[in-house]
Amino acid sequence: MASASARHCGAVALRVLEAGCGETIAVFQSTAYLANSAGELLCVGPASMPPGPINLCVERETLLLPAPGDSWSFDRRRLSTGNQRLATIDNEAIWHPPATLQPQADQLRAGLAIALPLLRQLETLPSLATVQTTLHAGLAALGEWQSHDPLPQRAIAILGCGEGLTPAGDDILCGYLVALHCLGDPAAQQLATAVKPLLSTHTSRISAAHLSAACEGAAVQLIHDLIDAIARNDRDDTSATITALNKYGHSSGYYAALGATQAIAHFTNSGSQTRNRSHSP
Amino acid sequence: MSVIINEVRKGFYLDSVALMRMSADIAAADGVDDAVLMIGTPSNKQIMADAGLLNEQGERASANDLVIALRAGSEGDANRAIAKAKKSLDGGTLKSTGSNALPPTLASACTQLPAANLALISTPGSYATREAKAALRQGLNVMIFSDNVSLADEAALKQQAASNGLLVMGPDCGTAIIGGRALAFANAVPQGGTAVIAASGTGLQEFSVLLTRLGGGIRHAIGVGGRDLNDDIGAISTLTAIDILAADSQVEQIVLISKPPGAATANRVFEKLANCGKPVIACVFGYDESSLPGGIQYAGTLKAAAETAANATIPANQTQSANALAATLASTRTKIRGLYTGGTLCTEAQIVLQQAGLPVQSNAPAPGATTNAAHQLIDLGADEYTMGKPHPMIEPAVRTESLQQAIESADVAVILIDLVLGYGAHQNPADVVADALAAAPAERPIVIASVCGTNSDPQSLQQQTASLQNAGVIVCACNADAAQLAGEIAQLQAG
Amino acid sequence: MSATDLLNNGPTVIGVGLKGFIDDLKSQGADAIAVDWRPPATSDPQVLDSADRLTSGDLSGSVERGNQKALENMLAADPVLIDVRPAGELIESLGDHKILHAGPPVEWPDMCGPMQGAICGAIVLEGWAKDLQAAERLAASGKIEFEPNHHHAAVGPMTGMTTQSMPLMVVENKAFGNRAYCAINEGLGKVMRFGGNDDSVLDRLRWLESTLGPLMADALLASEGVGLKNIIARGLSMGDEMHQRNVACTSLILRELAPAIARVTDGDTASEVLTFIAGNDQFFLNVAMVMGKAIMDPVRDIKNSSVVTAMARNGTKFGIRVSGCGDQWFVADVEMPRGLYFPGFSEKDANPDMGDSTIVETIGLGGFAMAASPAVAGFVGAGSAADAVAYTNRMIEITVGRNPEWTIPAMDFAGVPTGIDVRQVVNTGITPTINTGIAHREPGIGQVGAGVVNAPLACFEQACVALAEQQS
Repeated sequence: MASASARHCGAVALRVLEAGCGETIAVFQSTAYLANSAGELLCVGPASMPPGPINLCVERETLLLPAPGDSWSFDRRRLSTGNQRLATIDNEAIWHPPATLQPQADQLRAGLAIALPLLRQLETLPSLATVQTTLHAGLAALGEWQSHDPLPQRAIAILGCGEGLTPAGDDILCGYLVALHCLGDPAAQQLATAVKPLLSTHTSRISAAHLSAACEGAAVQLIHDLIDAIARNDRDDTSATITALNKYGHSSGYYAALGATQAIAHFTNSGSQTRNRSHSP
Repeated sequence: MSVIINEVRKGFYLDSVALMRMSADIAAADGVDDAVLMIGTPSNKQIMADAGLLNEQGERASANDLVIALRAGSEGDANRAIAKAKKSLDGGTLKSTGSNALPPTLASACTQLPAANLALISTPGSYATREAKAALRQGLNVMIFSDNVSLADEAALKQQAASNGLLVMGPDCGTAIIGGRALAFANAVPQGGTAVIAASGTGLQEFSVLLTRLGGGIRHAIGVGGRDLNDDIGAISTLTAIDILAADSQVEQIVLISKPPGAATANRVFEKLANCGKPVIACVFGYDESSLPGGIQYAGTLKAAAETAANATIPANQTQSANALAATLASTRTKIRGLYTGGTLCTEAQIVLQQAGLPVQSNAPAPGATTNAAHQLIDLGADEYTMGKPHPMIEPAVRTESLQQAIESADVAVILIDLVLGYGAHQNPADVVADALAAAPAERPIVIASVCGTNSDPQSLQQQTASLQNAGVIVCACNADAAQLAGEIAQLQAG
Repeated sequence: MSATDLLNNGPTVIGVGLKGFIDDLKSQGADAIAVDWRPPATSDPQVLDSADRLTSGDLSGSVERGNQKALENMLAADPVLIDVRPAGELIESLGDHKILHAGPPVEWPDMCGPMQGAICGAIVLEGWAKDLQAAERLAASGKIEFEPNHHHAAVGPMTGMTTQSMPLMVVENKAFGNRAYCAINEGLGKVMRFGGNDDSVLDRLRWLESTLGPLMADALLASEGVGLKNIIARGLSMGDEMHQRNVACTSLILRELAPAIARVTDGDTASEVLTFIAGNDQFFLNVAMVMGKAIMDPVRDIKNSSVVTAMARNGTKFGIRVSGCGDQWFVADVEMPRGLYFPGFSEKDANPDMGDSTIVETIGLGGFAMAASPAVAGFVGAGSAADAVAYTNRMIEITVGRNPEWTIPAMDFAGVPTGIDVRQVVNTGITPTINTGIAHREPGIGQVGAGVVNAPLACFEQACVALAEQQS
């Protein structure tokens, strides 16, 4: 069977593959997570999976996924698992996150005024009220956090908080980190520095892989699209990306959007712009 | 008392959607207060601890482990919910493939039939306690058909059940009807508004059958076992039954059928009944009516209980008078010999005969029976007759030998018998009697019978009655009537 | 399901005893199921009382906790085949005039024919006697020390001979750091594990010692060891149950070893060694056994756990060890296997069940994974593929959990039954099913058939009593 080509392959995913070989650690309905010998992960999925830093989207509607424990190898840009060739990765398929924005405070505020009510309509409640409380307290703590202080415990508590295997708190943090990064806020780097050492103990391996990419400023394309739409104060695009995000993952898209909008709100309301300005040329 | 269970799966990966669905399923399971499926991150462990869902097992989980945490009202509910969760997690329904063999244990039956709410235990008595304990542990109510369970075991089982809000029917509980379903030996009776609490099997059957004939119906009939009202047990099951029946809005009246309760227990039972908020009829054989609290109606026989409950009278269905029947007998025939398959029917007959002034003796004496009376009523279902043999309701041929002896006795005037129909009973008990009579000489005692059954029973009442009549048996409308007629004949013969 | 629920929802019934009552309920349209009830296999009141206390009485909570820990340790295991070394280097006390054997402890006069035959062969192999007659006199003289393999982190199939010069495979359980040992499978026919002791048997053993052992060691070193969990997972999906069928796993491990063997030796030797492995479908059995031992050793000594950590037979006695009782053996007479015989042999030729290979069942494979291997079900005389599923289903009743990593495709990928619980064995009367080879009762003839055998209930009864006593 000829191998399909990759529609998109995240830059992190490619780096993981370049280790040459490794094993399959988890297999879901339409995606599988592969690890290399350094323990770094990528996610293989069908064409319908959105592009993202650790995602490898194969140009097929359905994939014959490997089984947990199956080994994989990557040789001459071809990924094989077991005895099948899964995908060939061409240079043009390599996905990078969009460049940082040049945000305008009034545009951001206006964009948020469109995004927040749309998000509020979608709010999904976790089954335990304490999860919700922890998440909101964490978001508030992140907003108040001065980046030269140690990260407050309430903010740390977002990490790995929530049901399922990619907890809602991690999705929020993903959106938050990426939005700060896109806005050019230096707090992004400081938050990433605070979060990284916690990843191995405070959340699952899979969630840590997504967060680790977010620390570098990259998340699935949809999040970048949302931040961009808000920054441009574009009603149609904001609405469209929120709808698309809401369909992504069980509730991952929703929580990531929540994190991103909160980061933008904190950025516009606090002294972040001042910090930003001092950083700008 | 709530129970917390944590199940930890190392490095377990499953789609979030599947996890959420499973989480909702578990939370919705019976008796579960709260449930959650989370990875064991420090943050989540704090949340589970705050929500009262974490135990030391979950505490040890790491961020790559999946924790299923739940809190339920009882151990049984918790175990069942976690079993359900494990089953979905492990995937694959082992039992659905391969053979369709029956589950070898109660526990595996529970996983096959998770909605189960009652265990019906009919093993030999020496094993019944173990099985009943296992059933209670699974959160099941229990009906113990088996006999030979010790008093101490009975008390322990009932106490354990009561502390978990469960009901134990029995031991030696032959009959129950719950929500229109007949359990073990019971007749096919229509549903209605009358609820029964009975310490006896055939008493419950006769009452439900007579009530049916009078147009009534049964909402629930709960057997509690013959010793529940003894002071050793303290009516644990009877008291539970009163509570749950009183709480059932479809129950219009409650009927208690039993022998007299123990002195220490009587007050608690009757007080609770008098205050249960529903009309109550107490059919307590040989009990002092005047010691009942106000508001409880007394019935001395099953017939009286049914008539009171239905507010109607059972019509007599046979036309021959005692005089006409006695005229056919030699004057030397003076005694009544009762050969009963139903224990409570034997008791009721003794009560009726005593009320008519006739002294009776029995291997299962009712209050007032003496040891050396002329008239003898035998309960063939008593232990000394069933040792190593089937119960006469299942195999009426065990009565044949006693029947032949009575037929050959020159001093017996009346042979009094019962036929119990319904689920569990012999498919054609009338023919067994008819066969025994076919070989009898023309000059023989009069045989008077009653048939405890309905036309909806697997053995039709009509058919069984006709078979008996064809064999020359006088068939009365009910057991009390049969005893009454026998008594009248005996009085004439003594006369 | 409170009493109120019963009245509100109507009865949904599990029948224990007379099945007719359940049929009556079904005819009325009720949901009901009958348990295939049988009186407990045990009538000893002390055993029943102990089992009750451990199952539902005062001791049940601590046993449950112990068993969860035991299952956790089993599932967390990460066994890797890392080395092959002479036994004397691996097992400190294994020197001159000491022989390790299969099963629970046994002394020379009580040993069965094949075991005595193998002992004599091993003595000659080690050079402690010049011939078999002298070896027999030496063995009977009391100057040879006998000990079970299990006392030294080792296992061995059938007679299970382990002496100082034999090359042993080493499996390290990376999750716990412990190691376990087992000799290399000699092949079929006349072999020491079936009591064979003539020159051909000893020559083969010398070749294992001089050629195959060192070569495997080099190859394993070059390939940084072979992870075994994944091989088992794949083997199950390819029809192996790892006791009577190892053809898939043998091929899989050959695939892992072959490139490294080719790297570390000359072509002729590589060919000789690869031919030997490829010619023995049961080569992997010993690997599965040593893996089993490496998995089970970290399960020993878990307080109050009623999980079986070892099952082994010495040809006369069957012994089990239970986690909460540490190193104590619970021993009963071994049973005769029931099965199919090779042409020319029959039951009267059979030796009672023997060997440490039951470690494979102890970790949920072999008879427990019968459903994965319909071919074996036929071979051991267990019947059809549906019967094979029924065997595995029965083992579910006596195990603590299932292994989600070792699944059986034919059962919708359900995990193999894992962690034998002595309480459940006593409660249900269902004893572990073991797939086994049948040895000839005379030494040196070899395998005469294959079949299934059950672990004797008495071992589990004793364990229940001991566990309950110990906790009281």
